[in-house]
Amino acid sequence: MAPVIRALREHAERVESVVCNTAQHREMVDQVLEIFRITPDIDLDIMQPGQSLPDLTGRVITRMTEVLQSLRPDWVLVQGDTTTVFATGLAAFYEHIRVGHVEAGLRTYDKRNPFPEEINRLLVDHLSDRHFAPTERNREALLREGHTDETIIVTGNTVIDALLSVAELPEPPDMPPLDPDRRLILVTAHRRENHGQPLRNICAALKALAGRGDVQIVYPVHMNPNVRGPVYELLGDVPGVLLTNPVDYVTLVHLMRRAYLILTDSGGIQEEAPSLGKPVLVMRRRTERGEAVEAGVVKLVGTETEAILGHATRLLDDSAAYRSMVRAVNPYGDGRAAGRIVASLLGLPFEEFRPAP
Amino acid sequence: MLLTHSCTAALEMAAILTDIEPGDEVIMPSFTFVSTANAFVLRGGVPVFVDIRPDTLNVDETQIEEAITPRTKAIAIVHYAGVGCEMDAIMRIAQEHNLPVIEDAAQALLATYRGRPLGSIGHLAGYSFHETKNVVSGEGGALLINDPRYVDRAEIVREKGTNRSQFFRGQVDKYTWMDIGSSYLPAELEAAFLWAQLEEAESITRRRKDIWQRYYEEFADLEREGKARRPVVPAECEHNGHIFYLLFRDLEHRTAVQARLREAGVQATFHYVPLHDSPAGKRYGRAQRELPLTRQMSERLLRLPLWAGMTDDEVSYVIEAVYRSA
Ligand SMILES: Cc1ncc(COP(=O)(O)O)c(C=O)c1O
Repeated sequence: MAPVIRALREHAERVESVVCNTAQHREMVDQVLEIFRITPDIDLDIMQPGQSLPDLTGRVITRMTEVLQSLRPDWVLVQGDTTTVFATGLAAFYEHIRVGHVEAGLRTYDKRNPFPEEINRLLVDHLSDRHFAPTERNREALLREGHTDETIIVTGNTVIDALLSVAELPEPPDMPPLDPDRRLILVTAHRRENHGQPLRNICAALKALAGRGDVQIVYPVHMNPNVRGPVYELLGDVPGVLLTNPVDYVTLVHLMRRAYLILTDSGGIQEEAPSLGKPVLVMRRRTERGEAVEAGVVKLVGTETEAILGHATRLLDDSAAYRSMVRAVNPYGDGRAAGRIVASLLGLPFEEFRPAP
Repeated sequence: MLLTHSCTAALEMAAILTDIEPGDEVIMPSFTFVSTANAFVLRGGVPVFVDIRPDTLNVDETQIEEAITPRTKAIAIVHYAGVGCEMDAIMRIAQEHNLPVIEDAAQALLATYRGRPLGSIGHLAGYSFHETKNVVSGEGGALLINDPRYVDRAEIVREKGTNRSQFFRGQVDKYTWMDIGSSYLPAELEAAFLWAQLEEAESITRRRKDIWQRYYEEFADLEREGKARRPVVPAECEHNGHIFYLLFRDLEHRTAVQARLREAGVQATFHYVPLHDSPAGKRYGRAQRELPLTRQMSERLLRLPLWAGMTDDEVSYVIEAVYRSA
């Protein structure tokens, strides 16, 4: 939402915007607010230790209703699929205030996975007046559910806007020390489904890659002992492998930018790296980022040591293979999503997001 | 170092010295002045354009390697606004592939990368003393030769392909046509003017950097409000106050700001039309892949007035006008 808030501020002569933070996830939201230098106008500070879903939902509806009654905005914008988003949407609906949903139309079609997010987004889409869908696929999902085309706008994902604006910022002072004499391979791997043997396979592949001598591997390691244990045991003192603590978003973006190649099991990085023109090898058996695989900018390689090593080696040694993966087209966004959302709300002209073929 | 009548001339000499032949590829940014490309195209070379970094707007060193083909003959880089490219990485790639690096240091006099002067790191480099630069002689430039294998030939190429310089030093008894070349020498008058300018080079640079720094500090709030982004100078680089620019939201925003500044009597200019999008760039070069940042930055960038003779009041006036216009 940060890029949308910024874009709204840029139109301050036409629109008054008020940022309200429920702080359902305090630490996460504070980091983002800090990066984008946003001070919420209203901070409901709703997080409580051990909060239950019914309790959280109830508190958001009650508190948000008070806010809406005093402000009476023309629109309420909510983004994502948290309980805050659903409850705020419902509060706005009860108050007869129009709701715009940013990141509309994402679906797994499995109502318990992710829980409760799948149902949150489904419900909020049903009470929204305008749907800002990141991609064409999301639009189609909404159409199938009976939403009309006039309510749907394909914007690209605002996360790409955020990524590109962070990539422009200076590198943070605490960047891990990089060796300009070697190509950088950035690794992130910590998903639960990869714990155990798959992670050990990944580590073996990384060790072999480091043995080439012409690459530097930087791997920010998750704090989970199931990740930290094996990773430090297998890679702790391998020359050419730099293990670090988890890094913040700004550092991660700059590492992506510096990288020659990215190996990951993260979903977000698959969406983001293509915008920086970096090939991504996905160390999972499945991915829900089908558009990126179709666009050829992301490749699914699984978690077998030989497969990871083979694909990475090919990209390191075969420049034609590398070139074919780095077209800097991103099916998820072009960095202009926020502008489209704000233009749509203000009735200004704009074109919907259409990724280059 | 050999003085020339322009940086363009120095780059043309570099293209001759590196033996660019028809079809040879030269990797370079598209976000640059035409001379970077022209010099090589005149020899039949093919510019292969790569994208720029989002922070410094210099060539993205991580995209150079993938652009190398068996036909690649040289790498030409540009230190935009006197901020150094990531030279360690670039020189590593060049060494691995045995390619010469030509620094277009037109804007980079007295700027450094890891303490080393820009223009002294690649195999060859060009400075500009054009009237738009920090240190000027009307038209003017210099070729820097950091690799001894080019020295003797450079002298001949600059003197219309003759060994006239050796003749003047009494090393040969008559001078004659030895090689291809052209008239790349500056006139004595220009050189004399440049001498006086070079004596003041440090004070000029200091004053420009003061103004740059003032802009930088005063526009912190503009950046905080998300209206424009200020230049980024990496820790390993010392710049020379050549250009102060702001990056606005998009073309529309930039155009509006520029128009409002013009009304306030402030001339703010933009550049560059990306070379890969230009008629000649399309004809003579090719882009390695899409260059989204090159296009985006060229639409968003606006340079603010900056010259050594600017008074503090004038700087304040510009700052205020920008705040009112953004
Ligand atoms: C990056 C760059 N290269 C080359 C030149 C050409 O310099 P000159 O006018 O000395 O030929 C310029 C001058 O504007 C420049 O900015």
